[in-house]
Amino acid sequence: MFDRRLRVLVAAFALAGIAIILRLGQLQVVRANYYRDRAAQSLVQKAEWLPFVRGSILDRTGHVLVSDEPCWDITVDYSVIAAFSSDDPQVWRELTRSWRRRFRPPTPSEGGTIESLFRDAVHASWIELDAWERSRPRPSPDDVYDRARSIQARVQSVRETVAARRGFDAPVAEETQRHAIIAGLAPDEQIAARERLSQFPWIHLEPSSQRRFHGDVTPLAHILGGMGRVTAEDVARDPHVDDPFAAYRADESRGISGIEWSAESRLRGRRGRITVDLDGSVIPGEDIAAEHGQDVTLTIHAPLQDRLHKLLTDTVRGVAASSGGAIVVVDVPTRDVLALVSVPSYDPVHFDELYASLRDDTQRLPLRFRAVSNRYAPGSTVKPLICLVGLINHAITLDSREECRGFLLDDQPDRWRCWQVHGTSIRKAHGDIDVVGALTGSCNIFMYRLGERLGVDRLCDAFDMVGIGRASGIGLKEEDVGINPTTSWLSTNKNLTVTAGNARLFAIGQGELALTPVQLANLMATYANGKYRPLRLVQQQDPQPEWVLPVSREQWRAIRRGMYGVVNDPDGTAYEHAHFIHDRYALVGKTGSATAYPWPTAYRMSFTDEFGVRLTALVPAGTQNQAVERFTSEHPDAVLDADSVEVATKWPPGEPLDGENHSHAWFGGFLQELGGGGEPDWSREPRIAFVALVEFGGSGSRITGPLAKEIAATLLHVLGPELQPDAQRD
Amino acid sequence: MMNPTRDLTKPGCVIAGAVSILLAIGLATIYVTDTHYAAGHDGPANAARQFVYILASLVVVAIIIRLGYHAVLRHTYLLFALATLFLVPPLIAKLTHSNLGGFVPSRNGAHRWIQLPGVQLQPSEFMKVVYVLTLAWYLRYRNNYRRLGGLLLPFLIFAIPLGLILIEPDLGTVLLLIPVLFVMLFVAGARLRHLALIATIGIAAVPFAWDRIEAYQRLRVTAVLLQSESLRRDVIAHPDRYHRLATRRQALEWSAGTGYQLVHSKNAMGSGGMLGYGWGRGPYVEYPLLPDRHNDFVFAVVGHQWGFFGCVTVLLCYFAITLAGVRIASATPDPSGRLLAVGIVTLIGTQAVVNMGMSSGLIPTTGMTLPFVSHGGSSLLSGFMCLGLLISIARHRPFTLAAQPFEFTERDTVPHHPADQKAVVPGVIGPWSPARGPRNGTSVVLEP
Repeated sequence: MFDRRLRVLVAAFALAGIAIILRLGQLQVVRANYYRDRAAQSLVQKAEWLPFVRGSILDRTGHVLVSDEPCWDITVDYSVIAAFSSDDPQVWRELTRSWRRRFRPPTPSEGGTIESLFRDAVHASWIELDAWERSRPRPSPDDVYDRARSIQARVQSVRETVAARRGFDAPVAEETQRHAIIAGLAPDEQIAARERLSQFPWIHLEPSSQRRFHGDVTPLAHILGGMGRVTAEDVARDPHVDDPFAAYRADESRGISGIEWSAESRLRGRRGRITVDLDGSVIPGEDIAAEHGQDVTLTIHAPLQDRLHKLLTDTVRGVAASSGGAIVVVDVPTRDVLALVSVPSYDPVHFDELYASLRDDTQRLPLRFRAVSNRYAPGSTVKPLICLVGLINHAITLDSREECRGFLLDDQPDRWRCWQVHGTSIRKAHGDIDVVGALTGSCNIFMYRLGERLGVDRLCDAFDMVGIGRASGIGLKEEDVGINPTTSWLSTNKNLTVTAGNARLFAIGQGELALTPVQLANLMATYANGKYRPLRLVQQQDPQPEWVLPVSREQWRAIRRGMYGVVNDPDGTAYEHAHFIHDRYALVGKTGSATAYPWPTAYRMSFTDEFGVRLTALVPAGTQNQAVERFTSEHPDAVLDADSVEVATKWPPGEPLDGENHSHAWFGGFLQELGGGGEPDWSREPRIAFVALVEFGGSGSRITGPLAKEIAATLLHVLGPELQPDAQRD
Repeated sequence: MMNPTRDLTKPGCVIAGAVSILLAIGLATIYVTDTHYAAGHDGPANAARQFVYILASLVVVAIIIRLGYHAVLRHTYLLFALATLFLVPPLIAKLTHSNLGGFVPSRNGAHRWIQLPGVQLQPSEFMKVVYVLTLAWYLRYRNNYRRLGGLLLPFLIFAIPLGLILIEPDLGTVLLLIPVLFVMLFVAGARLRHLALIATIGIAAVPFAWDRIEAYQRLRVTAVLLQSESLRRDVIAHPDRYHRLATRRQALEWSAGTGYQLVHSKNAMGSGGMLGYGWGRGPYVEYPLLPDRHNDFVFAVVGHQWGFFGCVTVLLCYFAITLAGVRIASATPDPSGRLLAVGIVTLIGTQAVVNMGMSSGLIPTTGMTLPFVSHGGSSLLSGFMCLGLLISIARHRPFTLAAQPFEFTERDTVPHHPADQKAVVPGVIGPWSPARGPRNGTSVVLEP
């Protein structure tokens, strides 16, 4: 029986042995290939990502305006960054274990555990980094500790965003990577840094790139825009979030304004990747080169932009009440934007340091991209359009005449009047005029009557026809689409029902109607060649089809003749100031003034501080909400008296020069080639149209007239007598 | 003096041969894993150390064979007390969360080793051998474990050292000794149904014990269960169903977390294929990707180098040792010798099976080494002690015409008076006595 039991024992072992053999068979015979592949894969160390170079932005002449420049970054492994402020011993234990093999304690001391030595070394490394940062020539508002904290916060928020998207929480790639703590080292700095920091295996010096502006790009600052750190929302909305070669990472930058933003997908490249085996040699077939971003060529003519920027800056400076202005120059046939000037501007190279002061300049608002973001009432500059619409709709003909006595309604001679002669209180009365005369003399009465006849709906259709209320085509995020005050818009936004008064106002370019300088420039170009087409800012944009306005050649001739008269006829409204004398070209255009309302620049408010003392504060801000927000964030302990908030200062501070209201001053027009006899040859399509705006420049052409002449002269000088933007000149 | 009978030379040679093969495989593997990347904090020269341990152990074997297993057995209770005493420092260290001034260093939170100058000893390894010795000595003359009541006492007595080992914590050794206890009782004659009853109670207690065992031990069970990809997917999709067993995070991070060692162990073994990469070759030899590849998971590296045939060879060596040991047990009339042989065979065999199962992912990781192959002084020493005892049993075969011990018939539930016993060979009084060894027996023993 003993033997029998022994046999049972042997049988039991045999069974166990068979089970193991079967398992071995499964692993080593049946699935051998699978495991062989897995074994090969295990040899692979983590992939190294190769950075891409972001595309450059060039102007039309081929000058590089912004490009990526190689530099060096001091990076630290994320695990060390995440632990630096932690006191949790578990965290440090794990960190010590993972760095154990690579960490050599500075002194082979007996005292202390490896963990405490490691911790001391990490602290020492942070102190070194801080000292290095402080010794750099360009000061920075934050220190390395702030950066470590913000990296941690950013990576955590990316992780939460990704977890919300995926449905479960798992570590994200950023947690295994290195993050730049000090960026933008020059090559010689890099060598010194390497010597000093090489003792810490978690600090690395990695090649990187930073955005560099070439030359003085202040005139182009708004257009070019800038870069900012990738945020969690960027990761959430990233269309490439599942493509590890193209996805945003928490330590990257992306364009946040201007062309950097609008051309982001073109400027951004794709990373490369190499996988390295445990010996450090690259696994062949597993290296994918980085694809660098593509360049973007603007349609802007940089020398022209520079000249016009300087011109406008001088002009604005010469007008005491003016806070800024804009000039837009458009190539008529292609609708390429040749210049997009917005004054005042800023120096993007020093943007970080100056940001606070730029933001707080509520008077000049230098960060505002006036040329595309601000909308103004067009004033008389739309009168040619109104006349066109009247002609198209047969509300008037070329022979129609109106009587202008200086006022529209006999029973209300003080309302609906023609414009006021400068320096007097007399209203202009044109007498009996036709379309051409109405344009040349800028007669309001003619327009009121025409507007009444057309009605708001037909006027708004016309506005829509030339792109008011729609995007202009330049694709910038800062762009405002203007206001096309249709019946439905008025009832929704202003709770107004349309009356004849609205139509009259729109007909002279006032009221709710508003457009941006780029839109008005496009309108001028439309006046110039009779076609509408969206604008283009980037040459790589596909050209849009153009649309011919249903206006006959005679009608166009009349309209343009009227505009020609504005500048070149002695009774033209701009003749005195804008008459441009040139043997080959005439300046054809239209002035305009938009009623301007001063804006607040600072608010005054009363509050009680933490000691119970009642004080008054002066807070620079543009709106009441901004002011209150700013105050409460700077003085969290104070109790604000909400009723006491009022406007303290506004711009412009003084009284209007021209009597009743402040006005913004417009001039828009184009350069028309002359034929024999010094008269315009209307069969030749103009090449260049432009618009100039001077904020608070007053009514009339006193300011904008000379400016327009200068612009015309500059255009001819820079672009040459043929006004060819692509000629090799200057 | 001694006349080793020819019958047991063969098993003895088989054992010696098998052990030699295993030692050679072990040394070869440890050597190559040494030369390519040092095994972490253990440093280089593992193979040299293993060789020294083998030599030292051979000396111990010689001593045991010279002394004879009976001499060892006579002092079993003393050894048992000593071994238990050696288990106390780790217990104290664990309870006071200190390492007693370096005397009981902790590794991964476990206090299992005693640090003496120059060498680290693992008391639980010796406890294993002493346990088997004590069981063999205790059970050799009793026959009251045919009854359930008589069975409980051995269980209770032998639970004490298991308890001490369990607290270290060392669940693996405890789980190894339980089958040894069962098998020795089984082979000594306890009724199968009684044993089955106790086993069932034990298995039924597992769910209650599940929460009592240490977290990392639960993790090991979880880790091996999560091998199955479909189970992992299920846990990820329905974590509430499995919350006692595994968390969602464990399932997600399994291959880099708790399952890391198992993944690489299977990779190493599987990639060996039929014939393996050859001695000293293969990614898992050249790179230190598999943790503990020189001790607990050495089987995987064996499979990596020599493939299916290599693994089966190792397995067959252990089977050969088992068979030879059983042959020795069956041929020895000395009751303690029989039990001891069976106990030793079970000890070595179970340990081998558990380790091989663990390397291939059938059993949760336990920390059992592969006898004679794995690197480890205490493991080698206890293995060789078992070997020495076995060989000693094989050599000292008392010639006796007595009834073979542990031969029961179904009706034997009550101790017999010696006079009542049926003798197989008439005229000779068997060695039976209810309480003690041969007192008035005249068994002819051919040994001093």
